[in-house]
Amino acid sequence: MAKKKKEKYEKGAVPFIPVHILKEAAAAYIFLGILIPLSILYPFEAMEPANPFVTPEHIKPEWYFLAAYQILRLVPSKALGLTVQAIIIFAIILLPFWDRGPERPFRKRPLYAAIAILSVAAYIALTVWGMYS
Amino acid sequence: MFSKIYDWLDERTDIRKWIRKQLEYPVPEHVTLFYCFGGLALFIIMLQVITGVFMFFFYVPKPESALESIQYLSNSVPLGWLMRNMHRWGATLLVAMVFFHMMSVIVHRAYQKPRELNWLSGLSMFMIVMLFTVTGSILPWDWRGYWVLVLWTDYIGSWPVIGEALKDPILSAFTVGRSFVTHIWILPFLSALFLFVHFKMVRKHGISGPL
Amino acid sequence: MELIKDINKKILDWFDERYDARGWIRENLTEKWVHKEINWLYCFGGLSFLGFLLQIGTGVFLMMYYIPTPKDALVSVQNIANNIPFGWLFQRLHSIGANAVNLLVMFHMLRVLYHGAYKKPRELQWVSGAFLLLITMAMSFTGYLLPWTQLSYWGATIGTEMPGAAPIVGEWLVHLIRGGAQITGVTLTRFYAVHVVVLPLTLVGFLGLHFIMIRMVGISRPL
Repeated sequence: MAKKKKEKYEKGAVPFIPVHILKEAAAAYIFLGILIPLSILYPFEAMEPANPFVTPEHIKPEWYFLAAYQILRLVPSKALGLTVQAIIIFAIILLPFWDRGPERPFRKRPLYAAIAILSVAAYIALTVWGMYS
Repeated sequence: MFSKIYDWLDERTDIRKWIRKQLEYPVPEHVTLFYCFGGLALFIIMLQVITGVFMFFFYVPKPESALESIQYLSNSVPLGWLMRNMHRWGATLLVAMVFFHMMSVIVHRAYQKPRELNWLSGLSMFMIVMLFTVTGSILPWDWRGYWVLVLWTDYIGSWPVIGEALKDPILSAFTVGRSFVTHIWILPFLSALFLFVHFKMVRKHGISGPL
Repeated sequence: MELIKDINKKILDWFDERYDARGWIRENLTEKWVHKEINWLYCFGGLSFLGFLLQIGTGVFLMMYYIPTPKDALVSVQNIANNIPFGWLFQRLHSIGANAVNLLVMFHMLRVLYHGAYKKPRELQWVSGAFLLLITMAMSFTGYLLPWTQLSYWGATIGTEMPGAAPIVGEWLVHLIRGGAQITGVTLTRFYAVHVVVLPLTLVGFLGLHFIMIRMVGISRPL
């Protein structure tokens, strides 16, 4: 696949530099503007050193693993929970190979749109559930 | 079946053109064994990466425990002794290969126009290899590592004009941890950059003409 | 003015003969085209890359002072936070930035999902991206153990128990990840090496593929 010439863009093209890179820079500015104050406002706290002989009562993973953790807790058998996780991971990796329709807009592929929205909602719901249980 | 997969890949990544370019890359007829040293240096660099990553699993960058962790690596870890010695002798061999590579370039006068930038990037990598050996031999923090540090800072201190100004900041900034980071992150990153430029330009200009 | 132009042209000519400087500038700077309708949603990919660079920068700084043994790990982290100039900032940026990178990668994925940008001819783009997400998560997981606090110790214990449920290879996998039956100093150095060398190298490989392919096919058209 050769690189596209300017004329090949259906609705016209703009140069990546400076048009898009400026947007990118503004977004980066906002990102750093959030991250750096956060780092200053939440200083390093004294932490308890690891103790292999005492299991803490409430143990929770970081927020991005909460949904996966919650699946493991909901499914009665460990092996089954692991299988569910593996299926989800493979479904995500292989997404372009089972969603093969040519239509790209969200409204024109209702089935996949529904699956996508449902799974995102499920992820958020599981995360929140994991946080408060 | 295979050709179908190949077609599918080609449509997305242009891989056919890329493979053909690599397979049909011509070299001049006069290429002899003396042109091998650059490739050998690259091969040793790859070995150094593999053995280095292996040793990273066991090394502790702390003055009191560094030597202990290295001894544990060579005495108790399966194949640890092999990895350590390969890394160490590989370093020596790498310096030799880089040296021979430079010799052959000098003999063939391959640094002349239009390959000046190649020569300069190569020289920079020679410096980087030197820094690799220095920072690396400090890491075990044994008798030898300590005196390598002393000798090198003394040598830097003996440079005219800037030497005195350089020596004290280096010594006061030195920690085993910093030497470690330089050895495993900063220098590899720099050499990857220089290697990329080096190879790109070798590709552009081809191998230099016969004597 | 004329003189500057002349010198400029001479320098470019010199580099052109050796490195094809003008071609490089044309391809990467002045004549790199994207769709006109491209919008703010397209920033998340670049932002995750920026976050990754930030993690490397702060990570290299932290590496200078961190010691991967059970006895010294937390002490060295506290030393970074309390005694090293600006150490607290770098430590915070690294650990809060890890959350940010996870979030940004997810947003980037959602954007691609919404635009259906993973369809032909960008299937491999999505596959490499999914691997990048997995690697990012693995980075967070291995990094979480490193301070060797009560939280990280037990988090890692539960996390590494998971593959134990797999049939046949389960036990062996847990043993391989932990370097023994329990989480010990061996696990710590193992996670450290994976966090600092193995995963970053894999990540850079997949990132390279991701970027090369996007350069070939171009950014997808907005809807």
